[in-house]
Amino acid sequence: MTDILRNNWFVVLIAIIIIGFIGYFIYDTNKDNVSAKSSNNEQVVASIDKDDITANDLYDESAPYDGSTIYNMYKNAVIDQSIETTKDIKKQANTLESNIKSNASKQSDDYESTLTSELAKYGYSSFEQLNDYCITSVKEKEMNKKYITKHFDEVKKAWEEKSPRTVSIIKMEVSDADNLTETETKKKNNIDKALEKESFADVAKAFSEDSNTANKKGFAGYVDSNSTSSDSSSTSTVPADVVTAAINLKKGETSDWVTVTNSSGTSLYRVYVKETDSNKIFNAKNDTVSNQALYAILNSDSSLSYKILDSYAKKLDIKFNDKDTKKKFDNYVKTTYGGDQ
Amino acid sequence: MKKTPILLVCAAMMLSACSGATATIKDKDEAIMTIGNTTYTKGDEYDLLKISTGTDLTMELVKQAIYKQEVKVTDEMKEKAQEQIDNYKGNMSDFESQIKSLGYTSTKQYMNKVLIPSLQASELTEKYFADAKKDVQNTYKPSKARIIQCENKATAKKALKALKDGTDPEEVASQYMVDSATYSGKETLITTKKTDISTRMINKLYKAKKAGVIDEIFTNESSGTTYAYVAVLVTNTYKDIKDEVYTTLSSDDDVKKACLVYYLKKYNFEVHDQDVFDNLKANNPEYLVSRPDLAKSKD
Repeated sequence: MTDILRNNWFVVLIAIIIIGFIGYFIYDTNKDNVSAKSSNNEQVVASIDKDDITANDLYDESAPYDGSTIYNMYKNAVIDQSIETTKDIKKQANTLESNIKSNASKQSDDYESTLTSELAKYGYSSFEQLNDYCITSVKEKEMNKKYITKHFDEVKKAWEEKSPRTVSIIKMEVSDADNLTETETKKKNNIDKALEKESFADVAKAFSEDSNTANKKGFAGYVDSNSTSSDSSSTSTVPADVVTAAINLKKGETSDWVTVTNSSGTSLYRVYVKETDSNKIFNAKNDTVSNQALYAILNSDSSLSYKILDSYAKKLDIKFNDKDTKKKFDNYVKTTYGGDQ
Repeated sequence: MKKTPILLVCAAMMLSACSGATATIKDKDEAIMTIGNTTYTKGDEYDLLKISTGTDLTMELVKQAIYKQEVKVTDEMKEKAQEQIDNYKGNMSDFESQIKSLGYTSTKQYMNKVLIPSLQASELTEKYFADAKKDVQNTYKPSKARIIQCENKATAKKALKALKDGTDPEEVASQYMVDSATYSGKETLITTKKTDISTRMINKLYKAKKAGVIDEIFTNESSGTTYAYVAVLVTNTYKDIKDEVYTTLSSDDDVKKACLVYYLKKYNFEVHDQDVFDNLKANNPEYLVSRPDLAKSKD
């Protein structure tokens, strides 16, 4: 034995180093791994002396309140089987996934853990399913658009009550709206005079001080009466007072000057209503406008999202295997969408 | 020398580096609904619940298990919970439908699952101040004192002399304290949670061997002010101030956390599910009391 070790000392040394390295690797990989435990044939999630919290305890405790989880599982299955996954949908989903990751990484270093918890609420059990979530989200938009296009005359009524329209704006920053300086007065008069002779788009391009819209000939996109409320989901950058002025105008009309004072200072606005035809707005070539219109239509009728899902679900064989699951699903739909099952 | 056995040993050791245990429910394969060609099982539902809210719920169930050991449900608690229910009913006409919309089947269930555990939690926190007396003392260094906040060191020097001469602290305060002083010679509970006085003063009051005037002028330069303080220790005997310490600190989040950690240690809390462990490791490593290294590495 001694002779063998003496003759092969280098091999033995290397073997000891490798075994030591592997030993440390195994320790390091396993040190945060938990050990399994069972109690009365049930798997244990956590334990303290004299008591175990089993997986079944956890399920029994949380399942009565998981209507939204059941609904999301149901919704995902209906959408995935109703809308084909095209190349375009995949492309949009990839963009959405990148945006979500980029935004989440700005919020927290440990964003994967946060996103994993959020994804579970939407019916996806791991971070690796983020792309599946994105595909289903894009498909859902597609499904909603298809349904609304087909039933437009029926669903547009509630939406039209919100006075949907697209608008353009001219913005002019001032130091004091009641006491304009000579330069400010001159600029304001120039804008007024120009509007008498030229189109609103040309004047906005030439004079507007709004950096978001000036290079788009003043086009500020979609607004409706919901855009004036502070909790509006609208992404419009048009101030509430300017929206209110726009709501009171007809297509092709321009408002008088509207004064807006906020944390960034005082500004004067004139707003022009470009389009009020709901059909044209919903089918606008501008994706931002058509998407805003789509969400505004869905928001105008609290039961519409479910009605759309249900219309597609009816084409599939659906079976609830236990009464509790059906009851939780029905309660969730009733509470959230006001629908009766 | 044959190298095959060594390679086999290495391969076996590498393979032993596997993932941790994951607990699941008994009837995980039982179908709950079938939508077209997709069948969901109880196991699918459980996995989602565990990932979204499972860790919080596990900790809630662990707390309830600790309450069972430490705080018995008394008739007084039941009466208090019933009073709360009666109050809710008096103030909200649709109270019953509201709790049903939250998933509770009855007011009794709401009482047992929400109100009574909440009363037990308060009771446990109060018990913590007695059970973990040494931890509380070492961490919060409680004492009761009369402190006088003066404009500067010169005024504080005069105040200290008056106190040493035996003048009543409130009388000294009326003469030497700064206008609208936070500390005006009245009895005040002092702990490390007070951020407007110096750590040195807190330590001096806590460590003083007997009650009386502390022969020192204190400043708190880290707060960016030039105020100077003098102090008279009333008592730093824990049993005399325990109730006040509880009333003052019980709503503090750090104290609530320390209380839970204390009882988790006492009952040897352990996690046997990797998802729950990973979540706690990321968000509350201090709860993983069997792995104190994780909380330290986060600090």
